[in-house]
Amino acid sequence: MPGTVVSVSQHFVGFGHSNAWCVASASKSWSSELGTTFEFDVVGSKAFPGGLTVRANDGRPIASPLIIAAIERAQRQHGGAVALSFCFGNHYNAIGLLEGRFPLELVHPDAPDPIRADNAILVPHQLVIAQIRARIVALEELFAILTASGTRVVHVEGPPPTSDATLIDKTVERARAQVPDARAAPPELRRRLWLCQRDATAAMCRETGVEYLVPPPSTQDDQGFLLDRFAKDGVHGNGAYGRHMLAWIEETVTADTLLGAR
Amino acid sequence: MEQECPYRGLPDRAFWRKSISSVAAGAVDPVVSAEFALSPADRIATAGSCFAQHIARALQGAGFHYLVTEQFDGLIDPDVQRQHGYGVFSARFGNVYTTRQLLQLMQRAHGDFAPAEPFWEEGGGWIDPFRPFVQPGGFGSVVEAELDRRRHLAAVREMFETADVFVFTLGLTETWLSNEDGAAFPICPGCGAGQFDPERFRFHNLSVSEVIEDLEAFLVLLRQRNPTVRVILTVSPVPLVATMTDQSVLAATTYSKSVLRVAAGDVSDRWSDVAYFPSYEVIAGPHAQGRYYEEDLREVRAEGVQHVMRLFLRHYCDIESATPLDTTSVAAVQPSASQQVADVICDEERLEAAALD
Repeated sequence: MPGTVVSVSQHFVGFGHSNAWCVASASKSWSSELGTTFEFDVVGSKAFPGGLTVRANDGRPIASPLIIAAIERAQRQHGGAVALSFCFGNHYNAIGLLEGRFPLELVHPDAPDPIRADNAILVPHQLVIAQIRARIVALEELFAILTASGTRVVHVEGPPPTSDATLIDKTVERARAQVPDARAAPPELRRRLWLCQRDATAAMCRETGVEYLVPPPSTQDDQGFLLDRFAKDGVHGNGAYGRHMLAWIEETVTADTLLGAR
Repeated sequence: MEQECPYRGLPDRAFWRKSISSVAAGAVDPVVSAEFALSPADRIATAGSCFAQHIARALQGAGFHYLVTEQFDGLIDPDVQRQHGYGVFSARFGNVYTTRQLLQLMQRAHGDFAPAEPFWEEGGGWIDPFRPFVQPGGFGSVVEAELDRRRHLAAVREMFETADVFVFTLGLTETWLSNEDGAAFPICPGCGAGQFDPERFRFHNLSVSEVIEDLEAFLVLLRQRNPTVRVILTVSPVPLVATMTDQSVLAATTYSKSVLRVAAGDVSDRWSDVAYFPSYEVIAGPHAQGRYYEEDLREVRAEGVQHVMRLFLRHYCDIESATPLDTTSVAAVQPSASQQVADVICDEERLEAAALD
């Protein structure tokens, strides 16, 4: 019947780096009435060294053999598997986690008013999106290879920032060794940078045929900040966040229809 | 008593045969002397037509301090910035083809002129009519466009006030003005951006006296804020893409380049520390036999750009370029140089694209 979404048991093969740890950890105690299962063998710099893609002799990108091996193994053992990407997700912090002498201003279609009245320098939101697109080219290549081979791929966005800037105090202290006037950027600026990251990554996923999933709404406040109780530090989710994420993935992805960007 | 012919004893540069027709094309050097020298410590700013981008790149390549006051270094990758108009010129103003644009840019930056023309809404984005192509897809909102323009004009102020040398390449005399307040647009509204409206916009072809007036008014304002700045004027050798006059585009190009050449020469003759650099002559002169132009007879080939920049660096920077002189004919193009030529951003070309749509 058209429009009917039928939940089916799924096996997920997760891969990624720092944003995958909390989910990988939570998966160890995960149990599902639907029978959804997760495996995270390709997580972190030890288990997942090197890039998302490597180069063939002719310059063509080839998917990481570690990811391909994990997916093929799961497909053999489970009769099918969904590739679950937690890659990247912190590029917005590379742009604006901290600020020094020249504070930034950012307006976004979902947050159209200026943040501050001082002489902050506007960075056009499309420039931020373009920068993040440039930094996720390797992921785009990987997704294109996986989807071309018929693999169903879901990419999960990294967590938004918290509204509590003190969570990144340690990072600020380290930065001050090099930039004496470094300070945490305003949380609202970081939230808007995250919105740009969301736009950039969602667009890339649309173009490569990958389903895109935002973090679970249950972990965010009304404004879209990550609630403190789900934060490990200023930029990563904790174990509780990982558990919500697993439930969110099961709720939204374990269906026999392509759901598209959520 | 019989007088000697006054031409007797003049240097080679005064004679066509000695300095042009008997010299290999790549060795022709019409720069007699530089009015002043540039040092690596000088902060050099550039603006102008697309040809001005070659000067910016050559200066950067030669290790000079190319002044850029509007950029996000350390935050955004250089390639991404360039795609968004940062670092193409000293500030993110795009092509400044006419002296009217240049003068108004100075006036706008210092709050002396606030054009009435609003931002243009197009395809869900908001376009700045005075630099319509710097932001791909336009700004997300009027607020963003206004904030960016505020930052841009502050960067333009900083550029004019802190540059030690300002290089301006005069590109066109044909321009489009607002009927309301005379604001000059870089391109005809409706050709690549905006909507054409004959009630609101009018065509104008600047005369010699108008170009001179614009340049002098600009120099007065510039020197008020930066008394020691030195200025180099050049004329772009790139012909018009299209003309709005009732002339042939060839005749219109000749008019435009002639006017700009006369005005630049007149102003540089009368103003101290304002020099004229003969880019136009190097590329378009008969010695090159048209070989410095691409097959479209409009775009300048890499060899031509190299010739111009060799002379610029030799006379103004006391640098002999490592690139060998083209002594017989146009040499093979180095890929990197060709790519740089291809990468030059020319808003004017949108005129033809829009006309052929």
